[in-house]
Amino acid sequence: MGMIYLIQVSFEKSLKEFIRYKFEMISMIAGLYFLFIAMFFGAKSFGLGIEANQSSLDSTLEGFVAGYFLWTIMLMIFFDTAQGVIEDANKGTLEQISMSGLGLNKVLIVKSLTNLLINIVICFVVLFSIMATTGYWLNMKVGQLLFILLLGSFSMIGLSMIFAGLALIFKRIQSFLNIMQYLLIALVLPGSSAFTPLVSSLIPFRPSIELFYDVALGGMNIIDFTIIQYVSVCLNSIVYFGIGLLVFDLCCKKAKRSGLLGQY
Amino acid sequence: MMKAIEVMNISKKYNEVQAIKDISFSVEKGSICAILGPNGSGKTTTIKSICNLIMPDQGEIKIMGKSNRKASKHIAALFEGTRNLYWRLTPKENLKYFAGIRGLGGKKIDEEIDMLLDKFNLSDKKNVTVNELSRGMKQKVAIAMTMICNTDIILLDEPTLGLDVQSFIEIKEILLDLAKNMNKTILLSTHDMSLVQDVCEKVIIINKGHIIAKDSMGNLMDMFKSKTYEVRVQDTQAVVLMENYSQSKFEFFASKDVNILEVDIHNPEDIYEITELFMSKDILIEEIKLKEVNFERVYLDLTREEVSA
Repeated sequence: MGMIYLIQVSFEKSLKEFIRYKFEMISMIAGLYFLFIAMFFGAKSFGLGIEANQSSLDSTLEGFVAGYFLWTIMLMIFFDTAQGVIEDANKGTLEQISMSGLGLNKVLIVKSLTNLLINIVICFVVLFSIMATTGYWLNMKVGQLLFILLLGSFSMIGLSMIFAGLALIFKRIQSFLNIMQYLLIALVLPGSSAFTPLVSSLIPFRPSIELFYDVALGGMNIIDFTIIQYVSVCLNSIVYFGIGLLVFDLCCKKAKRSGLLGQY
Repeated sequence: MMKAIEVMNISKKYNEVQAIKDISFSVEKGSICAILGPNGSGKTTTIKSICNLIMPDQGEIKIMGKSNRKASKHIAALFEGTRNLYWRLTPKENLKYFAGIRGLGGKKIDEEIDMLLDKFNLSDKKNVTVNELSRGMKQKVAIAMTMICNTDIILLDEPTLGLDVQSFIEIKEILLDLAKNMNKTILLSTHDMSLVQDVCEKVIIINKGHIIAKDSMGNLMDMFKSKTYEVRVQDTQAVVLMENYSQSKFEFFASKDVNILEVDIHNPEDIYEITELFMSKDILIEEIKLKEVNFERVYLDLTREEVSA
């Protein structure tokens, strides 16, 4: 009962705060859209300039659209949790959440998941806008893509919990968080030979990214994947999520010992 | 009476700075206790240790008989110097969210929130975002937030900061109601001595990280009550004369009133000597009375004694 109510109020809070920060919302969507458009047409004119093969250019640009969509989702999951902890510490609400009988980590995970639902909607809005603008349409099996994304999203939440925990102790982690957005680009590169199945299964969110590309670019369906592929996605999610929780918990204890919780 | 809070020999050091040392006290269930001290005395470290937001290096804290590490559901707190609330949410939305993170919910919660907002005279502001409210109203919402958590213990750091007179009286009545009628335990940290005097049964005074006084309000007041007498004279020059008179075993102090001298005596019979002294100086005494002591004076005397020691 308590958990269901927490999910409900967390979703309401995320939605209402999001709607009330209208300027931030519009500028974020516009920023993501124009950043992509600039990169996309830059890449396209470069490809045409060097007289690249049209079909390989098309498939590269299609992959670019899908990769950008995944990058925005990863970015949002990552920043929402890590940045959210910093903001709560600034507002003094982190101390209130810490005193919740449900536990700080549970409240933050619910918050991350409810924010994720809203962020996914935004990412799809951005995706449809860029597909309409560029004329490169992916295989939009929205339900199947959502399933894959949600299954893998726990690994990203785990990763962001690690940084959220570190942010409690090392207050000047903000600049490192900004660098992380560029490191995340490396994770979404489509069809890179560097990502062997073994390597992929070890990198956070990468197994989901592979399945996403297979559906969005390769025209596959979720029933076409093997059990091993699903196990890889689930294990990747569980392991990173578990590590995230563990590190966050350790960092919380360290912050409490040093009197750092809530001091920004 | 059951002890709601038991703090046993806690100490905390930040690097080389000893924030608190060997702090011990307890607060009975259903009572209001004040924890006082100058800025930087260790109050916040003590309060946050009770809330398990800071881990002491030594000592133990029990909440309703259990270790505070497992008893956070029994405590709600309001901290000074932070927002405590989400400013883009309305008071009602804030209370719903904070009830949610406490694991509360159900059909009744909306009714309880409405009742609480009504109690704080915030019903007409329940759908206005917090950032649009006055400072006093924000403070009232933050106090209401601690109450919606429905905990046995409420810790309030400067709860009356920024409140107007009307709101101050309301909060005072609410605190008394919480303790007397709802059996809640309240630990207050404030610089408002009139609030302490009006609502607290017990007072703990901390200075430089250790407790310098810990007693009931009545005992502390009595301790100082017996000492000071006010001598009203007709001539203001006499006040100056006696204040500088050094050939007596008594020491006279000018008070805020230009016609009144204050003198600390330990034996009521000393009053005869004082009247004789004034007569010998041809000073007409209009009135001698025991000074009504207020808690502010008690607090200042205690912390001053500590500084001079």
